[in-house]
Amino acid sequence: MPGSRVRIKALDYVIFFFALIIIGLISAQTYIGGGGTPEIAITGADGQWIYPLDSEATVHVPGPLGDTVVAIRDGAVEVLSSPCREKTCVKTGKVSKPGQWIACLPNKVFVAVRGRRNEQPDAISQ
Amino acid sequence: MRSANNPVGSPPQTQSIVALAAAVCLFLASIEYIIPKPLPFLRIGLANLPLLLALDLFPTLQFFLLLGLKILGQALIQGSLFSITFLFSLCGSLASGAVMLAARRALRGSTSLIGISILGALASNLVQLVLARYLVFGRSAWLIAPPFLLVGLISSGVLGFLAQIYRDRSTWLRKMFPDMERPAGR
Repeated sequence: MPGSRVRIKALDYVIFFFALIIIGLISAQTYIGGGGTPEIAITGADGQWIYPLDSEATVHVPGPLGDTVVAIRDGAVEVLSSPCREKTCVKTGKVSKPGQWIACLPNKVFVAVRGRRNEQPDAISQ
Repeated sequence: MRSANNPVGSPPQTQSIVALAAAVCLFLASIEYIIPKPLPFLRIGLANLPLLLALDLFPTLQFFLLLGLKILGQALIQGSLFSITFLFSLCGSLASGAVMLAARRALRGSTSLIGISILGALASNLVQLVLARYLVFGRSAWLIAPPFLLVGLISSGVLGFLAQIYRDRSTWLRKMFPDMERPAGR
């Protein structure tokens, strides 16, 4: 019908939401882990460090009270020492599973294991 | 192009229509190429417009001929004919063409070109992501999946909308394909 408005049909909406659901599922899978080498994100008062879980590293994270020492080894991460009073973070021990975390509130240090290594690709081909 | 030997076995008129549609693809690919993109995967997919219209109007063989010409033309414009990008474009376009044609035939009349376009873009983008996953980036390829797919959803919806408008309003199309409104096409 020349001149008539575009009629969007019911099935168009169905397809749109179908596509949206697929995108949602892939996004959820991407951002909430599910495969890949887990990574460790160490957030300090003035920066963030990201290590793959299978790396070996000792990180001195500066905070308002001093350095919190975080060690990554044998596929787990733990806080070795902390200048805070309670030492809750040291007592937490080792964590290794995605979603687990260690926090030191007084020294503003947050250590979390995440589901996937956060490599940023340079580009995608068209 | 009214030659005696007829490689695609169709009337000469259909052949010249395929050539014309391919030329429009080439033109739109160059328009798309000169539009600056903030990120490499943010693209519009303008060159797919003639394909959307061809879904109803061309027989299967001519549709895939047009698809092949579009892939080739696009690669020439972008200068990616002998790069890995071409593989992505080839596989993505073939997947999207097959899905769109199948969906159009199966759902004939119950969707507009918007739904078909969205399905095509989804197919193309998923295939390209799988290729990126296994050929280039590894698992981290999925990290770009959400924005890539979302942009594809929006741009394909807009493109389908434009194609539908053109399909509804073009008098030229009606002149070239007088029986296009008949519900049972090929």
